[in-house]
Amino acid sequence: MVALGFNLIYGATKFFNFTHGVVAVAGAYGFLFFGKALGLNLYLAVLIGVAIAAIIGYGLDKLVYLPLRKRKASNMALLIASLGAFTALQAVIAILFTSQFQILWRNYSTQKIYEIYGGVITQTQLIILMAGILITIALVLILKYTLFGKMVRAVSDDEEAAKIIGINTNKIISRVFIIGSAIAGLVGILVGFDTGIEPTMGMSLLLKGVIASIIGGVGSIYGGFLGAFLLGFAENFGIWKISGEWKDAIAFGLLIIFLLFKPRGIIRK
Amino acid sequence: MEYLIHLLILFAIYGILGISLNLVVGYTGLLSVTHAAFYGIGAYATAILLTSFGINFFVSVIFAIIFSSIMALLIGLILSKFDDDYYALASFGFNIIIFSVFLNWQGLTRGPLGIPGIPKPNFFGLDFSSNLSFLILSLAFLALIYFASRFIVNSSFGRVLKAIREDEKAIQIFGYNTLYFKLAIFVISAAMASVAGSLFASYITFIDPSSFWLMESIFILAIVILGGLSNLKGSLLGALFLILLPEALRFVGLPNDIAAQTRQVIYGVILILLMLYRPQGLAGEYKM
Amino acid sequence: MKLIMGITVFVGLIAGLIYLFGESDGKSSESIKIGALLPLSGIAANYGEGSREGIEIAKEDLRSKYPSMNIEVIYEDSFYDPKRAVDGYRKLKDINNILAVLTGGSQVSSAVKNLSDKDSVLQMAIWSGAPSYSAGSHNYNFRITALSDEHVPILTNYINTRNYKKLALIYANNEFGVAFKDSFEKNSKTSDFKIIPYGIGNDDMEFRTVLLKIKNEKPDSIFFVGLVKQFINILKQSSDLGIKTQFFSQWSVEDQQLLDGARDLAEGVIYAYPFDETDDASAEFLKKYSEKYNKVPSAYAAEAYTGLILLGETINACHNKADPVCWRDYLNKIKDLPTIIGSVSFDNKGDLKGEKIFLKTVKDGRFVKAEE
Repeated sequence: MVALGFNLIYGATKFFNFTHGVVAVAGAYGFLFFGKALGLNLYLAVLIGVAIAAIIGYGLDKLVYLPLRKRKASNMALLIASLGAFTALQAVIAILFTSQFQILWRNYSTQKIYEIYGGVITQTQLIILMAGILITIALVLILKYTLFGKMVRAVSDDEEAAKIIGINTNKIISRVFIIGSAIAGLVGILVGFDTGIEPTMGMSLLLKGVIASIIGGVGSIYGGFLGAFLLGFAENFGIWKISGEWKDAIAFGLLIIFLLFKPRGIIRK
Repeated sequence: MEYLIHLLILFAIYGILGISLNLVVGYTGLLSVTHAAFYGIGAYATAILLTSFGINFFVSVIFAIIFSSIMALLIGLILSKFDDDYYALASFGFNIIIFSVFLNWQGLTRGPLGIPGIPKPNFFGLDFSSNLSFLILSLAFLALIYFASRFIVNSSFGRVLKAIREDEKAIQIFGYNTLYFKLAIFVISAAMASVAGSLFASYITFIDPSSFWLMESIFILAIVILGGLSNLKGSLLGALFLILLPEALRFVGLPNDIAAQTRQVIYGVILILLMLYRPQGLAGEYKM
Repeated sequence: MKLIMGITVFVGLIAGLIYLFGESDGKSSESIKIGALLPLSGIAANYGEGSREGIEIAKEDLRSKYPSMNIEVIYEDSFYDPKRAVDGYRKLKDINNILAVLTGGSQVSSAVKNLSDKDSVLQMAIWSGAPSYSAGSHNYNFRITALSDEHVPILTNYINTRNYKKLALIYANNEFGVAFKDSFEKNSKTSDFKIIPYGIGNDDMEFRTVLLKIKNEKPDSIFFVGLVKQFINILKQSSDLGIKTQFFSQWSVEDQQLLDGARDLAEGVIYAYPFDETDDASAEFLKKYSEKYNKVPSAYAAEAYTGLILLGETINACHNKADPVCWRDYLNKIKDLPTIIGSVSFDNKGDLKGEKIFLKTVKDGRFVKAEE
């Protein structure tokens, strides 16, 4: 899901957005605050968390990325700016919520576990899986069939051409940021339910998402989804067959070998 | 003051890293995010040779260069099969793989325990153990590499690199073997990075894998971008700026419990503002 | 050009700042300045925070015990990175004129060790578990982290006497994890139980694959060394997978985060710890810390507290003189000085010896001593 959001934003804006990671963290903490501290209803708190993530994404676009695009800044400059924003936001979260590790789930005894074909999956994981599938389908449908979706694809293909035919590219881009960031916020909350949160978790989430999206084919929605599966598979295959410490090296080794044969990713855009 | 000398030594080391990466990223247009790997290879080579075999520092630098050049050749060959975004991904894949080796090949690198007690350089009795003398040594290396880079960039070899950046297909039509050029500059850049690594190992006297992971490559990339792509002086400025900024922030007085985090916020905001006001970098003219 | 001028002005500003604040920072030059080089931001920030909290309580305690002592603690961010730590150390030494420094974490402590030796600055390394830190010469460097070699025997003893036969050893791939794994393997050569090591990454939070592997091996006990947040997830994921064995661990898991995060899953975990809360001094510390910060102190906080208290006792024994040589000699000579982590002495390499290691467990949501 991180890949989906990242892909969407990358497709439209063509730069490597570091803040995508921290937006997810913001969503998780938003939920933590409203859900746990203020004790609001679970679903309401989730909505608020997602909304907070979306607002921050939107804010970043308006305050930082848009002015940069207006100045014809290169993608590299956007990357640095997003790195700066990432550092700053992460630190703000640490100030507000301390660096302690926190969990979002309430109680163990009520955690439902399902056994499927000898494998075990928890309720949270099932939700993550279904959310991933639903969002993928939703995005594919939106991009293919709605006017908005078509405009997004136009901007992704060629921003200049889109402008020429009259699309308000900046408005489309800011919508894309909102959607992508909302997805990220949801991810942050779900991950929090699965393995807990702390202010610095954004970077590893982001890296995995980026890798997944590039494997699958940058800018393609199916690609993001498939890429994530492949990455997960490669990593765990490494742990299972060899050992935990070499996991990253094995995963990347496999990926590089794979990419050598399919250099454009699985699905062409 | 020792403090300033220390900062200038770091500047020299990162200046070398910035310049060498700029050759690949700024001048040739290859977005490589694996620089910390060669930096690390240089550092570990020097560390191991100095602590386990008692070899002279300068000899170890040569070994380190040879070793990282070989690695760069192999990695560069594989990387050349990719283009654009995939190049960046594969390159940071390599960074992660090499980092994993540093971390897990404990027989060689002692893994996370690191290698302590690395001695300072010694040249026929000339001892470099005082910080000031080490600074002079580092600046000497920096100057060497800076002028070498300038020479490369202004030569016809350099012109081919820039042409590759602009339009690789076009220059291939003219009969240039672009693979050779790309590999050559990649290897040269890795060799320079390994020199920085050797200096780093000897200066800090203790190295461990955490100094060479992915974020370090991104930091070096930031130096290059901040300073201005394809501008060597810019990389020097970038290194100076990114080293001095967090240090300057140490002096900003803030309430103890949130001081460090607040400084990070300020640091991030300054980066954003810098990009807003000078998106081409401090000294740059080229935009990627 | 404008740009070059701008840069020169900027650099000049930095240099100027450094010179301005160079000689004194306005505080009374009577005070003895002690630096605290901790990770205050970034990935290890919660250890830095915990340590700082411990130090603050130590400051209060010293102030009430020795009202005439004038100590000033100056914090600098080490970012948990050797080269940034050296920056921080240099600033503390050259600008703030510290005479002693507390350093947190093996990489930071190792990087600073030679420097503090050269500068005659007394170094007190806290939570720095890598054995190699104390290798080489010992001059002004002391360490209060008990080594894994000290902690492991009591665990292997317990495992042996309770007849566990197969121990799965999950270790994080960092200096703590690897040190503990090596100690375990060393100490169990004469034991009856078999050890199977499983390494995990430092950042990992997903352990189900490793746990499945472990489940297939059917061990009767699992030892974990790594970060608390990882332990929380291991407990949870083991429970999800239906793994039911005795969990063992080490001192860093005594942390409020474990109680909050794992709740009832943490019940019954047995770990080795050098801090006996039935001891008066320890109970005092526990009470003060819990009241001030609303949580149980972690081992990091306890070590940081002890570090500063030891320094305070040393300075007092040297008649409040700013004399690191006297301090060093005093520390080398102390025998069985009571602290919250036991009666301590330093061996000839500057490592802490003589902590009594206890087995503790989690019972009813509290950390208590385990029955023998």
